[in-house]
Amino acid sequence: MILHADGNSFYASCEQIYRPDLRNKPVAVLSNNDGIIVALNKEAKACGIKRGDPYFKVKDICDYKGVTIFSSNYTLYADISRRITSIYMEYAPDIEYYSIDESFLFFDKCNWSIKDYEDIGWELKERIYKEVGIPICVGAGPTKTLAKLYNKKAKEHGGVFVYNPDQVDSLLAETDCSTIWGIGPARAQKLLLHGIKNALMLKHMPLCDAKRLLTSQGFETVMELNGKRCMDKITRQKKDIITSSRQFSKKVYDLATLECALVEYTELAVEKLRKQNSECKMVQICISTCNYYSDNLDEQYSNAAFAELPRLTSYTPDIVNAARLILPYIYRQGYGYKVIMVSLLDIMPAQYQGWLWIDPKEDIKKRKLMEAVDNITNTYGRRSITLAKSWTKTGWEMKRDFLSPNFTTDINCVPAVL
Amino acid sequence: MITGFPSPAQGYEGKQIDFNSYMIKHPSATVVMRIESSHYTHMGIYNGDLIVIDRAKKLNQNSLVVYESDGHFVLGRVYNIKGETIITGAITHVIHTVKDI
Repeated sequence: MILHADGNSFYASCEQIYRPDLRNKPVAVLSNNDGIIVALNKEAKACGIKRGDPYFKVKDICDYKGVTIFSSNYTLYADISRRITSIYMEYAPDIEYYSIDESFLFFDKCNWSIKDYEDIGWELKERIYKEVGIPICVGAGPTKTLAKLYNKKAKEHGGVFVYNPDQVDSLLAETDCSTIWGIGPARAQKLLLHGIKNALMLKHMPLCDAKRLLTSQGFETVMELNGKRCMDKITRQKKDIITSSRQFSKKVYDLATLECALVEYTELAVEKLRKQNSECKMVQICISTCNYYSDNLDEQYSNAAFAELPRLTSYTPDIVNAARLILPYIYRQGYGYKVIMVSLLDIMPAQYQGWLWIDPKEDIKKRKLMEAVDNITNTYGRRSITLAKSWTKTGWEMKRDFLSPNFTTDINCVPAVL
Repeated sequence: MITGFPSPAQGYEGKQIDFNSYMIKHPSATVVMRIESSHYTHMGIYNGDLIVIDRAKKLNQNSLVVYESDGHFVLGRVYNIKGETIITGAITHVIHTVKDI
């Protein structure tokens, strides 16, 4: 059995834990650069705002209804997430940390009853609420796809919902295809054209049709609905594209500043790449003037370029240099740029055997250097060591006007007792 | 450069007093707060003290806890607290820094 657990309105819940004055009050969290609303609790939803709304559009409603707004505080969310994960680890022998607020807990070779899994689910829910302060929902099923579906339906069952072979078909019959993990509205529409109206019909569709209509990923989804595990722990854990992007707080006109930003976000992307123990062969960059706040007076411009690396690598300077090399090709003078994005593609698990035509000494040196950099970053925090190129402060740092204190990680920010 | 005899301290490096292991039994459930009040001096807890709170510790009627009252965190004994109140957790340690006079 696989349990899927996730935090309810996770970012908003994190912001509320050490703010007793916000208990049962509307709270919303903004994306990087305070652009759009990315998380909100049910009280905030009741005020008529929703996920994805640009902040400047709903600012008046928020002020009027008394919605407390926060900038994203990843230090806080990561610490809360770490606490939750360590509680999961007390229960499951194997865990996939799927995202900051979502985990799969694998109970392989455990021949337990439905009741046992329900008990574990309730205990997890109670403990995490009491010990960390976050409300969670738990779903369980024989595959990841089913576990995720049961989690989605868990709210109607008080927060914990476990797969039952006798009832699964009636549940699927009343489930829209778009609710299923990996299907989405566009694919659901396509399925509807072929007469597949609900998740039960999806489960029973011929596998050859599934492959034809939904590609091999959709084929896996159908298999998983039938209780056959296809998505291994590994399958979705390693991301096949790593992206690091930012909206600047003000327009950037000159190439030098843009290059500094490019270097910084490439560094971040490569750091993520090494975290998942992978290497990439291609880097893509994208710059754009478009943004939510556009006054439409300036002409808009955006462009992307990619560079192929001579070989698979996770060595920051090599990837950064490749990205820098292609930037002048897409940069055009006279535009105010608002967005930069770096993507790493063609990702493979790291090779340790080395390549015949590469000097192994050089290779080992590079790996050791990157290991040292990662250790320093882990000990002293993000950006404590960087390439000299990205160091200058140029005013394009993130805008975070509503940042909460790091209540749980900084001794100077701990909550007050009155 | 490594020369001469090995250090007699070999194998004993890294032994230091570790306050984390002394004060934190449940790392995932432990938080720190700061007293910003002089209401608790009768308990020996002073303005500016840090308190360590273990949210996983089992409570009894006499436990000293942090709880929520009127949108603030306050200190009290469980037997004094009304039923509906949200209790954050039990205080396990008080850290008082001695000031020079």
